[in-house]
This record gives sequence, structure tokens and C-alpha cells, in this order.
Amino acid sequence: MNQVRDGAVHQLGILFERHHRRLFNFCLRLTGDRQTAEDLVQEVFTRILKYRHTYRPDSDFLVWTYQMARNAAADHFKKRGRMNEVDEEPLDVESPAALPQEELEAEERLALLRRALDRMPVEKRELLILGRFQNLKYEQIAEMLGCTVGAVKVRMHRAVKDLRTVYLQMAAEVTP
Amino acid sequence: MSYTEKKNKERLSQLILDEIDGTIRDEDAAELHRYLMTDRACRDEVEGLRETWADLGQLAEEEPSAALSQRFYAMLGDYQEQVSQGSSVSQGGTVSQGGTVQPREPGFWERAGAWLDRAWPRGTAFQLAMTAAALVLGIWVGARFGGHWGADSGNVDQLQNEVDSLNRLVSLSLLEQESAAARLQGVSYSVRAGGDDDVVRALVRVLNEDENTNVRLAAIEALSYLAQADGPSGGASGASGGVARELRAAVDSQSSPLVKAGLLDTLFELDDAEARALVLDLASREDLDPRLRRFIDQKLDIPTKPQL
Repeated sequence: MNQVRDGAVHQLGILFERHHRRLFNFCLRLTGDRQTAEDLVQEVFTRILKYRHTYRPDSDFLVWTYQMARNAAADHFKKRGRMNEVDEEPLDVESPAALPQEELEAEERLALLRRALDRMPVEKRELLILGRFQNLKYEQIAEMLGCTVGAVKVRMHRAVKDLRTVYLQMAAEVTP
Repeated sequence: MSYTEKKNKERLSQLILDEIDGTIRDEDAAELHRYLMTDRACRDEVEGLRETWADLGQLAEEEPSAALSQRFYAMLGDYQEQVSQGSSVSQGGTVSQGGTVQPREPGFWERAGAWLDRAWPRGTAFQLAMTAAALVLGIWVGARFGGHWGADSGNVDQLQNEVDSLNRLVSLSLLEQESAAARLQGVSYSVRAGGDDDVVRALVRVLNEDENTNVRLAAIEALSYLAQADGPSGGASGASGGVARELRAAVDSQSSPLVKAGLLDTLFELDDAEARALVLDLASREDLDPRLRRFIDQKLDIPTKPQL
């Protein structure tokens, strides 16, 4: 990133190849919409190019980039005027007929969990995505959120608890 | 809550998180396990959270489309072109004293174009829906301001027919789409289209063949709505009777307990005379999914065993 900041913009291609899938999945889980997620990733790399001079050599590139992704997503939600909802695109699961019972149950359990995640408030959803899917360290998340590692863990624990509550509620609804 | 209690609670939260994500240190693990031995509720909570945490890790990663890379490299190419062309650049922008390119502010038409680009939906389903909405609006405006409004009540019927016909067209088209979200939207449009035979047939096909559980569940709801909108059952030959027959036939072919439960529930809603016999037949099967059995027991008002 230092080279990109100093003008070797072609090096951004390397950063793109290395990080665009993770960023795409972050944005996808946050918004629930593939096209929006791709737009946001494009927006993130455009912003990296535009604001590259603000990157400090001692900065954590991932923290800096995810901060841009969070800002881009926040702008998106602001434009859409909906902070907590995501587009609940259904999972394209394999044809149930082709799956054994155990796998079918696991598929349904995971589909339900994903829907439960979609129903979480955006702050908690974001925290869970950052901590569970993006393999970011709690130190990095703390830097991103401007709080201590301990506070991140406390919030994360609450978020998982809330997610489980929503999941169990939904499971009770679909299994009368 | 006192300061000490709050701190202890926070400490416990941190230890539980470390425990479920597998990063807990040995000495902390010993401390946590000592505590859990004294608090069964907390122990159960940790087990539940561990399961949810593990399941979260199993949610599949998705691949972006190739268009993302293409768009990125096009953007990067444009930018590099600006750099190579010095101070006069093709896409606008200027070279600063430091030699870096600063993007210029976009003009009115570029901003307007960008706004249109953002506003116009990219998904096929939404594009179809937007087109349909525009057509409906056009038909309405034509009928409203064409000079004959109110003179002939047949115009209203004709307009309604055209709108229904359009909804049918959009619904049938969306139900054929690859995207499950589009097919869900097609199911939604089918309800607006009314109980047209083609639409009902398409919904039955979706119910029997669609690979997505959510789409099949939505199709059941739509069929139920259409059957009820057509009035009371009227026996096996009525519209509702025909739908009920299709729903009954679908029960055996569905492997998802959720879909089976949805079908049975709908048959009961439709007061289908054969629903109870079908449910009793299912209940007699030994290999019945336990969740479905629980559902059936409730439907038949059989007390279920308490869940531990």
C-alpha cells in the first residue's frame, strides 16, 4: 500500500486480488445483496485510490480498508434509508431431494442461521461478520471501532447471544 | 449493579467468548470452568453459544462475479491513463505538484448520469418489475387522459384486464429466472395476477420442482391465497379443490419437513376433506421426521412429549 500511496497505482491490482473476495463477502453479509456488495467493493477500491495519500506507513492496511468498507456501507444504508434490514435473498441450496436427511437438516439449520443474522441490528451483524468471517483479530476490530479489546469481546459475546436468541425464535416459528 | 459486579460480568463475557472461539488461555480456562461448575444456566448458555459460533463458521463464502474484476481493472486503467497523459487527462482530473493525479469534480451531466446509473436497478427481476410498473403507469395515464375516462365503464374493466395480463406476463417470466430472489418476486406477482390457470400451473411446477426451499414455501402460500380468493372449496372440481389436489400430491414428493408442514397447514386452512386422512397416514410412518411428527401431533391435538 505504501507503494500505491507513493504513486505506483498499478500495485493496487495486487491488493485487489488479495482482498476483494473478503471485502465482497463482508459487504454481502452486511447488505444481503450481491450487486450492492460488488458496487461497494468497487467503491472501496476507488476510495483507496482517491484517499491513498492519507494512508500512514504505520497503519494496519486491513483496518484502514475495512474502515472504508464500513463507511461505504454506511453511506449505502443512509441512501437506502434502512439501517437494519437486508435483502433476504434466499440461499440457493442444493435440491433437497439430492441430500441425505442429516445434510438436509444441516442445510436448513444454516439457512435459518443466515436469516437470523440478517435480522440482527446492523451494528451487531457487522461485529459478528468482522469477528467470525473476516478473520480479523480483536485488536484490529478494536482499532476500527475505537474501543478496547475487552469491550469488543463483551460486545461480541452479547451479539452471539442475541443471534442465538433470534435463531431459536425463528426455529420455533418455522417448526410449529 | 455494583462496579465490581459489572467488572466481573464483563470479565465473564470475555472469557466465554475466548472459550467458544478457542483462544482461551489455560489459566483462564481453568477459572471459567471452575465457575461453570457452579452455574448450570451459564454452562448451558456457553454450550449453546459454542454451537451457534461453530455454525456461523460453516456459512459458505461466496464468489463475486467476474464483472467485479473487470470493473476494477477498467477503473484502474482509466486512472493510469490519466497519470500517463500528464496534466491534461482523458477522464478529467489534474496532476498535482507532487505528481499524483487528483480526480476533478464531476460535472452536472456526469453527476446526473451517475445518479441514473445508481437509480436504475441492475437485477433482471427488478428491471422487469420497473418495466412492468412503467407500462401499467403508461396504460393508466393513457386511459385517464385519453379523453374517454368515465364515459364508458368498459374502459375500467379493459384497463383492469390489461393490468392483470401484464402481471401474469411478469409473474411467468420471473418464475423462470435463475435467481431465487427473482422467482420469489414472480410468486409475489402471481398473487396480483389472480387465479389464472397458467399462473396456477406455473406455481404448481415451482412447488414440485424448484430447488429452493423458500421459493417452494412462497409458492404454497400463493396457491393457498389464490384458492381462497376463488371462494369456498366447492369440492374437488372447484378451483380450490384443484389446488388442494395439487398440494396433497406434493406432500409425498417433498423431502423438506418445512415444506411438508407448510403443505399440511395449508390443506387444513383450505378445510380440505382429505387432509386429516393424509396426516394420519403420515403419522403412522415410523421414519417420519421428528419435527414433522411434532407438527402433526399439534395439528391432531395429540399431547407431545416435553422437550428436554
